[in-house]
Amino acid sequence: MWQYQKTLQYPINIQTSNPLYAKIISSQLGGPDGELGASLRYLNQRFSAPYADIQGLLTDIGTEELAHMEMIGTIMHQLTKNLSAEEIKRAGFEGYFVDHTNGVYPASAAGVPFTAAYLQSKGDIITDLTEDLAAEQKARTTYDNILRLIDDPDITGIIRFLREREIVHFQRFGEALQLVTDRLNDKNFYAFTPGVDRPVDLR
Amino acid sequence: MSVQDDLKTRFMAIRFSIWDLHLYLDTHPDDAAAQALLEKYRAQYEEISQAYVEKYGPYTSADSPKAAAWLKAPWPWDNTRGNC
Repeated sequence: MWQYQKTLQYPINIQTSNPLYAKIISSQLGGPDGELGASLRYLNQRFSAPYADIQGLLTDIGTEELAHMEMIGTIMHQLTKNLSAEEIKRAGFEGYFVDHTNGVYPASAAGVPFTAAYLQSKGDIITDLTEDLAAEQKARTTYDNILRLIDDPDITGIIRFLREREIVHFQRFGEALQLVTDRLNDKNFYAFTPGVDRPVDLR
Repeated sequence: MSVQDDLKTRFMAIRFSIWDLHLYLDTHPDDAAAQALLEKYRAQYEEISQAYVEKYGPYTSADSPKAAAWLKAPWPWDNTRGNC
């Protein structure tokens, strides 16, 4: 189970509404490389992970991604307060607004609703960790792209923090992949998937 | 946000340091220096957490024997600049 903490990992206090920025940043909630997909990916993959430390890492990073999802929702919420119809239309936010008003909804910046097709849980730890490494880099690139498009210092500090976390997670997943391959057949670590091909306790 | 050396900033920084060390220890469980640093931050957290809860309200429901206090403390998405 989880216990909610009534605090963010990094403070968010945005002074100026900006619906265009809200739309851009919303991709990190429900877009193809966003935080919702990240949390679901790791929290589902961990059940079939064969080692206790790898299960622990997937649980912890998946949990942190839930917190990041809340941070992106917070940014969207604060950027869409007190909007006039004129501001909504000028920012190109009318498509989002007509469907969701200023509710927080998981979709990409282009308006494509979130889908579980963005993630995989393959039941093979080499495959899953390799996907996780790519996922962290894709999220990091997305944050880089967001930083190319926005210049509000109230927001860029938060985005830089989240970008840095992708780099840390990439590092931890790289170490996890190394730990796993060290424990498998070092001549051919694809030869079997622990837990399927060799039903012994490997912990 | 301007960096303020206040209770809230320190609390958040200690919480984050504990979390990041915890992640590091997932893949480096035998790193004694990291473990010692984690214990140092945990001790700082123990020192500061009561003062934080008294000033800003409970941050987990377990800190809050009264439901009203839990609900009254600001939600993380509330814009609190000027209050802290």
